[in-house]
Amino acid sequence: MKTMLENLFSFMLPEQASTSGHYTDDIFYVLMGLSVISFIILIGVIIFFLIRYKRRKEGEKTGNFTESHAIEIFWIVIPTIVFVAIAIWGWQAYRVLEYPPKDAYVVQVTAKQWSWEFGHTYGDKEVKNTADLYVPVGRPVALEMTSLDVVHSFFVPAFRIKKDVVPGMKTRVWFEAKHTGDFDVYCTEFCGTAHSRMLAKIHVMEAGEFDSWLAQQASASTSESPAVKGAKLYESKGCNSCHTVDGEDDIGPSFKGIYGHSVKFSDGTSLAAVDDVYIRESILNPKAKIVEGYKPKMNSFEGQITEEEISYIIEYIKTLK
Amino acid sequence: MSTTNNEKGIVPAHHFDSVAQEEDAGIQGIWLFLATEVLMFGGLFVAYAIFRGMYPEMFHHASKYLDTKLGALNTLVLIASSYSMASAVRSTQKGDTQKSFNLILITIACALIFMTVKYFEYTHKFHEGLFPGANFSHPGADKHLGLFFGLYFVMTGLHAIHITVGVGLMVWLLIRIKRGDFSPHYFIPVDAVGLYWHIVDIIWIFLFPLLYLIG
Amino acid sequence: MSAGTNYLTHSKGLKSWLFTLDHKRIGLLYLGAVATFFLVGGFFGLLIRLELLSPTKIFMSSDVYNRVMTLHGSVMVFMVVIPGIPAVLGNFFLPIMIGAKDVAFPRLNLLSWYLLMLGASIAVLSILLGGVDTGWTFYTPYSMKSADAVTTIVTGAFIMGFSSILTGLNFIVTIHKLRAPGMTMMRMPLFCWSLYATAIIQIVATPVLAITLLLLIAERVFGIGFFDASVGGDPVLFQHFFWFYSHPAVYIMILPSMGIISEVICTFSRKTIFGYKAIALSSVAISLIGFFVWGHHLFVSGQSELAGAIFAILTVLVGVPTAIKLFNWTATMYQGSIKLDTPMLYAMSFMALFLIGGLTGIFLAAMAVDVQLHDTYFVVAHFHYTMVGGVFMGMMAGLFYWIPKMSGHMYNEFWGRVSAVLVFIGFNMTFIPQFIMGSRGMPRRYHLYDPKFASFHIASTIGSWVIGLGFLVAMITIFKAMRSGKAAPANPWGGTTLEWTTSSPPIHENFEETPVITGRPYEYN
Repeated sequence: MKTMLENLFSFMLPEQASTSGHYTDDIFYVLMGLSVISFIILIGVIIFFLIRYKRRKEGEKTGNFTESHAIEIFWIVIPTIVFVAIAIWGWQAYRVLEYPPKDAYVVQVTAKQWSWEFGHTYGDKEVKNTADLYVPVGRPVALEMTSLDVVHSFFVPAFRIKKDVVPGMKTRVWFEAKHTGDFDVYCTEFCGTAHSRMLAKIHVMEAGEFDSWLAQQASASTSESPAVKGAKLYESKGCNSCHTVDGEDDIGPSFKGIYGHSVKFSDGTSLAAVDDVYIRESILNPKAKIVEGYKPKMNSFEGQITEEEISYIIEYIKTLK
Repeated sequence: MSTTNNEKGIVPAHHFDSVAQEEDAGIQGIWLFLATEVLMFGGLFVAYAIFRGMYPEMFHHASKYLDTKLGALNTLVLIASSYSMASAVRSTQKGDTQKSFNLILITIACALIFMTVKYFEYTHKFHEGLFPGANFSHPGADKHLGLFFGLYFVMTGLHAIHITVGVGLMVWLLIRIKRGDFSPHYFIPVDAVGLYWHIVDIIWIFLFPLLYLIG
Repeated sequence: MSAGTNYLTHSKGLKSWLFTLDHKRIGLLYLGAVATFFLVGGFFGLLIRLELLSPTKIFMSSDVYNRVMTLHGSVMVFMVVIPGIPAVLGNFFLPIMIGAKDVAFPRLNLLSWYLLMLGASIAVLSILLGGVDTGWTFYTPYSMKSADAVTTIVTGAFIMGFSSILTGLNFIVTIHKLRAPGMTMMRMPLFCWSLYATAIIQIVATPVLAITLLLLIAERVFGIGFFDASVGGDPVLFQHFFWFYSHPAVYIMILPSMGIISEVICTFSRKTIFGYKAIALSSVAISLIGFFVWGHHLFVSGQSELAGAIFAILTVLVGVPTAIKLFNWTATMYQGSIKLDTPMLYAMSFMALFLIGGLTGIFLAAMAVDVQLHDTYFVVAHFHYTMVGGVFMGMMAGLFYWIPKMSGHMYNEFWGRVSAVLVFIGFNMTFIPQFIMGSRGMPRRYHLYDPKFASFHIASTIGSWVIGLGFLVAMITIFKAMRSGKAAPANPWGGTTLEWTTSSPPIHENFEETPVITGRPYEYN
């Protein structure tokens, strides 16, 4: 019965790639089956009545069956039992989704307009990526999430998980991937202009591969040039959600060729040449000067970026001619 | 179209069978309206309960910044005003419209005293930097106190707006009394404004201890 | 009163309409307003679907799309579906159906209309002030920080809320005090029962919306901090406050529609309603239980598991009185004498579409399933099936049913049926793809989307053109019947409720003499 329902209705769900996904899917398929059957029966009866009792002449007599306590009790009690059973089933399945196993691998998730940042710890080092979450297969992963600005929501359709990400609060969600692969992450609580671009990907790797990836990430930070570090920060800090490096204008101006170039602001003033001071101010106090033709949408990175990181970004921007 | 007081005596509006039915309907309408007022303030009391549950010590501490004496004074003033308003309704019922005119004037005076005290309370708080929410800037105090003051200003502010509307309604009553609109046979508007005023008073009676007396 | 005048000819001129105290004329004023707002909201809906033909930008930037999306929802919810049936058909027919000459407070009634117009004007003004992109739900903190005309649109909604409260207040007192002799509560038509249950919600829930919107304005203007995490406030508290009103609000929308379905099915089956008491009381049950389910919008918000479970169970329980109605309506048709005129076609459309809407609500009440479906197109499809497939089909059924009484003219039956068929087909074409792409992971409120969902969006957009055409045909057919068409007799359909004993259109006072009621409605044979 279960496989029949699954075969009929699996087109309605994305691939199921987590170990706990079937709790959700089982309920979904049963509900689809019950709904389709109820619909066919009730509408079938209605259509039958429409045909059988079609008016043949004016003034014809109609039936007197207008009250039946037995029938009414029947169709109050049965739906109540069925509905409450479904609600309880849904609740029990939710408990699985809500409480991660004790040995879960923890990743910190920080949401902000409009990117996702993932933080791993390796020894005493922190490894951060934006938009790409690398995890090992076959191991439960617990995400501890918070937002830096507005309410976002972390949704992974393939894993059947979703949880709002709220400023001032930590929310949690967990999954265990069944197999390796790449899986979409969507922000699914409206959060402003680039809400529909606030995407990420979960890359599930073999355990050994994951361990070497993590080790490599932790050590990489010492040997690169400032500009390369800046290029990585351009992504990991989420600058790329609004600023391109290829000249195309987006929510914010492109970084290509701006260093040393003049810029006009929306209040009529201008700067003869973009310099370190201006870039630093644009990061820490972005609403102070708005480039002409753009809107004041950028939030300050005060407290989220070090002076060192700012200098790396400046070096990177210098290379974008 | 409502009850008219003309040469034929009191006549109900065209869709009512009798003046009694019309008055019944009017009073039921007022009670329903007052229920909506209680529900609206109820939302604020729920917010109060939630935040106080989250920050009990902060509330205890913040309440100390409120002047209990002034709050108590305002409470007494409002209770007195409810008494004068109720008396005004009674006087109209008995046909003594001059007395009810004076009693409504007294009620208005009480309301104005209330608003004056509130004015002084508010300006003093601004002077001390006790602003609501993120604007809270009292030297040395925890920023979270802004939450208490957010509640304080919204709850008492909304209440004060209702006091002001009440004063407006009472001025309207004074005008109608002078016009000779009311009599022992017809005084529903006085009754209705009286009920409104009592609800505004009752809301304050809940606000006062919850805001002023928990320090 | 001179012979041959009715409420339309009783007095003439613009002032006699703008200052009318006649509930029937006020109903028509509302009809004009709501129809206009529907065209505006519908236009925005069509624009949305047009932009979504492609996964990438076609002619709107994300900022513009988000504003159009917000306006579509805000206009449809606050200016069309909430006032909708109560303000138009309720105002016109409640007094007549209980044998009264007017509502309890006619001046308050006119004020309600002006409040709707004022609030709507202010809300629409927000378009000129930069627009709003928060979605019609205005979630904090985004709505606090957004540099747009949020305060304006929220002020408009606040004022419109009072329109709704006063209408509810008026209807309760009308039903309590103005029923004709012999009209006990248990002899009242079921449409009146539905308006009564609706009015309870309007009075109890809308004030909470009022304070919620006031708090949002206070947050934006004075920074009071309730929803601001940085001073210890709670952004999710806004969601609780907002949905405490907005969930019961959807019952404000559907209950009157269900009342119309009861009327139409009885008349067009020429049969007494099956289970009068159950249907009457189920409206009140939905109204009351509906106050305790708001948390089902917050299953993934970080709300506690226990709270979620309680809300889940209460939510499915609301489904029970709803199911009772569907079953009782079907049983009413048994051994009836059924004619599929336009009102009945729309009523049958309601049965199929609202059934789907209700069943998909059960999906969303199952917490684990909601985790997957929340904030996806599955929810969008669910609420369109209930709000359009439910509320609108009832409104259309009611309009076609009662236009002969309101205007004195029959509408064109052929075009009426064409509209019903177009709307039914177009509606399913638009929203079935949305169920599927939603459960497959397509999030809602997305301007740009993954190309794998493109074919669903394209199918949905084509459907939107069909439903748009259907509604256009319906509106033209009704509009024409307001001014021309075959003269309607007093009782063209063989109805049994009091409005069919008056002339078409009714006289100013509704009845020559106050009717005396001796039995229940819907008595045939």
